[in-house]
Amino acid sequence: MRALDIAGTGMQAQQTNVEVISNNIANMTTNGFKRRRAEFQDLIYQNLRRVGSNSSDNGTVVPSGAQVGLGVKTAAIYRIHEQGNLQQTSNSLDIAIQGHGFFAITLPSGDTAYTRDGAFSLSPAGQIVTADGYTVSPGVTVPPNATDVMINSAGEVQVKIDGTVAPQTVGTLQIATFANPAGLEAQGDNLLLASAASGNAVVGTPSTPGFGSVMQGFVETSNVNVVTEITNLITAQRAYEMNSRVITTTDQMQSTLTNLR
Amino acid sequence: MQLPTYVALSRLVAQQRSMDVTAMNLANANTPGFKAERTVFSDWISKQDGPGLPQGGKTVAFTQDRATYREQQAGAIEHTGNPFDLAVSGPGYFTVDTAQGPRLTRAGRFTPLADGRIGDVDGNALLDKAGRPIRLSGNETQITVNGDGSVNSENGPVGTIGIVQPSDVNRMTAEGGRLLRADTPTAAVTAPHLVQGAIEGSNVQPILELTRMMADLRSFEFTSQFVQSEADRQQSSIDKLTQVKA
Repeated sequence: MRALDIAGTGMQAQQTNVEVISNNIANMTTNGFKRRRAEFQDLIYQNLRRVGSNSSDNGTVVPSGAQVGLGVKTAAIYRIHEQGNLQQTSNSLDIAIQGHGFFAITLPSGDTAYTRDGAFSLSPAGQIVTADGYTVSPGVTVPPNATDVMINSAGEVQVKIDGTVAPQTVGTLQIATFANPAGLEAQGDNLLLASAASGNAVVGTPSTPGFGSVMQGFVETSNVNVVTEITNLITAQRAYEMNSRVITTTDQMQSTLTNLR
Repeated sequence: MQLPTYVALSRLVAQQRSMDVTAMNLANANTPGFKAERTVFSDWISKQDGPGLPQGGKTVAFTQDRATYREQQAGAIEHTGNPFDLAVSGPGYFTVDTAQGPRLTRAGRFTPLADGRIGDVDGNALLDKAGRPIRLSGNETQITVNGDGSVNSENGPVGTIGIVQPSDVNRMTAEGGRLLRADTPTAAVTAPHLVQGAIEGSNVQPILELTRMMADLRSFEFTSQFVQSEADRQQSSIDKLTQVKA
């Protein structure tokens, strides 16, 4: 009987769904985290009586054939790139992007990764780095004698040095956009990598057309909506239970058959 | 002599088929754009001839599972907030370009592809009214889809999504991956209504399916009991006929 296998694929799919939801809830307070959604599609069909096949010699055709589907599979788990909540921290190196774009991070390997997590700090050499110590490209160095760092919405980093009146510009943060941000490959540690699906990074200055603006003193938290996640969790659990009921019922049918004489 | 068992057997086979369809519906309760399937049974009349005809009847009706059809009512429209999630409200299907030719779908989960086209989760391009892929230039940031299917960005109009309806919805062949092959000529829907940032869920009603499943199970057990008692009857007739009087 196919029903057993079909219900099995249903239970597997719902298990994936619960895993995705639990990952979302676990990362509820992760900076720059984008919630994910599991997406399902129907598996192939078995044609028991093909649609449009002839039902007589006079050319009459079967209007709707008998097709039995073979279950469900996970089609994709994709990120939803809605803006996360902006949380004020008043830390001068916490930067949030409002709108499109990612900070480009230079990894120790020399590759570039992208992130929305803008909780930065200074390295011993005075460079603006991520929590893991990776340089935020294009690499802005704050002089050791600076007393204050100001970053405007266009990403310009200005420092106030004791004894001078005018603030001094030490560099500009750049952000990168993608044609399809959902196609970026997640790397863990809040980092994303460019892929064939995302397209190439377009690097530009914040607050110019097509790019978001940056806000100093804020971090972007996750865009996970707890109420939605819990509702999805309940739906997934019920769907799981229903599929297991199908298995029980099929089992009962089979045991009836086995006991036939 | 064996006939009553075979009639009951045809019922049992049909019941199993019905169970498979219910299992498929429940497994796809969360698949966007999925339409619940139903089985259609018909009787298959067999004329009897020869000696030993049952009294009063010259025909026997077997059960035959004739067809499955898709229920056409709309699924619930669920808000997602993703600009490329589109739901068709009312009749009509999106057309996507696959390697096997254009296919129809109600699952409006789209995403920009690396080359600027808009595609579904498997990378099949979404087609416009004229049957060409809809292309973005790559630097758009604000995509709006109006109710009539026209796509606009901050750079101006991008194209119009084609919404079509086949002349016979029951003759579509499901191919998996949420795709359907039309099999009959398609025509553009005159006044389509699209909702952006939402997606049509499946129209499977779990309670209905569970109830149907219970009914299937009971009917299956009932028929198998009939097979059982028929076997007992045959056994007792054999016993009686072969009894040798002392």
